[in-house]
Amino acid sequence: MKIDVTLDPALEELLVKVLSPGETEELAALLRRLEEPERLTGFREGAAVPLDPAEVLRFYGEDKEVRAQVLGGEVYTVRLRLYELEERLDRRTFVRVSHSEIVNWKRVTALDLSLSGTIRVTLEGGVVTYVSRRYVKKIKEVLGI
Amino acid sequence: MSEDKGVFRELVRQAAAGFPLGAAAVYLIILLGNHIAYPAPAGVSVYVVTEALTERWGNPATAALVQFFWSGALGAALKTAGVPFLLERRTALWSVVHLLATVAVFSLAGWRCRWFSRADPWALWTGVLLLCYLMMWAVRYVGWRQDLLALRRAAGLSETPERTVSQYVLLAAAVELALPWLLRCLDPVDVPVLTGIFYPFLILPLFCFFSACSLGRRWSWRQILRYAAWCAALPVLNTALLYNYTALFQVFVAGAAALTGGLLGAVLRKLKKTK
Repeated sequence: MKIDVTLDPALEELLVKVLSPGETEELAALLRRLEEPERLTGFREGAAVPLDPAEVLRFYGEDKEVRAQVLGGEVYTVRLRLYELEERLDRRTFVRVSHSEIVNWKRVTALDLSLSGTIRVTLEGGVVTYVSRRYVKKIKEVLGI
Repeated sequence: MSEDKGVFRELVRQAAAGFPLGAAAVYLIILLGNHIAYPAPAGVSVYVVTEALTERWGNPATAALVQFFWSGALGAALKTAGVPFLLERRTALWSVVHLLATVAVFSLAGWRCRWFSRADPWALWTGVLLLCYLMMWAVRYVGWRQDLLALRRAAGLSETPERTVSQYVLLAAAVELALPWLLRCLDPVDVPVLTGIFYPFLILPLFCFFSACSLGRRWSWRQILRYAAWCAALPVLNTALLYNYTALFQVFVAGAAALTGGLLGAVLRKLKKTK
């Protein structure tokens, strides 16, 4: 299999075009891998659970570990660093809001301003967190604002 | 901890940059004043310290050194005004603390350097200082608000955010701290009807009641109690500055009205939910 990467600044998002001589096994496997959503593994009470990123509300650092809070409120430990999660997940969906937290932007239900100028983020299920002022500029860049 | 260290380093850096600027600015103002406001005493070509300061310290050189130190301290205080905004928490509180510290440095500098022979010019310059801080806070707030609106758009939320508790508190601060002073200016000298009767018995309870009612329709009991506590606490400052201890009943009036309004708001919210 040959890989040809073309960089085009005019594109708004990643475009993958596959050229194949026919409908082969290799092509089917490649398409499955491309279409399959990113999977993560969460650990809780000794059990490993596959986590669907779309179900995750936020990833945050706690006690030198990274936790994932999912819809419903359950918290799992993820054996990846926050910067690794940032690299693996869609940056426009999972937004780094502070030194120790990544938020699922598609699960945001409210954004308010506190008296200290910090932006308060309310996620589905009433989970509340805060955007660090130092990260506002980066967030706006990532979201293309 | 590292964040605090970074903020402290920035505080020191800004203060170090502000010290020479402050000293230079004060001497520049005085030198310009030679041509406008302060005519030099007979036999003196350039006038850099007041006569009162020279008298206080015995000779012009020591007086100029004292003035250099206090001017520098004032410059350092002013240059660090933006540092509290580097903090992630309690920014408003630390900015107010900074304002008070700057007013203290300014007052001490004015007193030690004998800049003001009367209280009026000191009050005027303190007012200008307060105005500068108010402008700085307003500019920061507008910037934060713009950021918030942009993020709300990106998150697919409506551009008009739900009113936050802090907005209610800011409004309460304006009504309970600034309005009495405005009314005092309009009050007749003999009988202060506006500040003595209209404000504490009409404006204050009505404002606290209706603002808390509006808040109660949107927020939980915890926030209602927090807001009522703010409403009750705010009149204490004006009791000390504008009234006297007999006006402390305003604490009860404001707190009770806010609690009642909050209760009504919460009831209305429940009724709306059950419909």
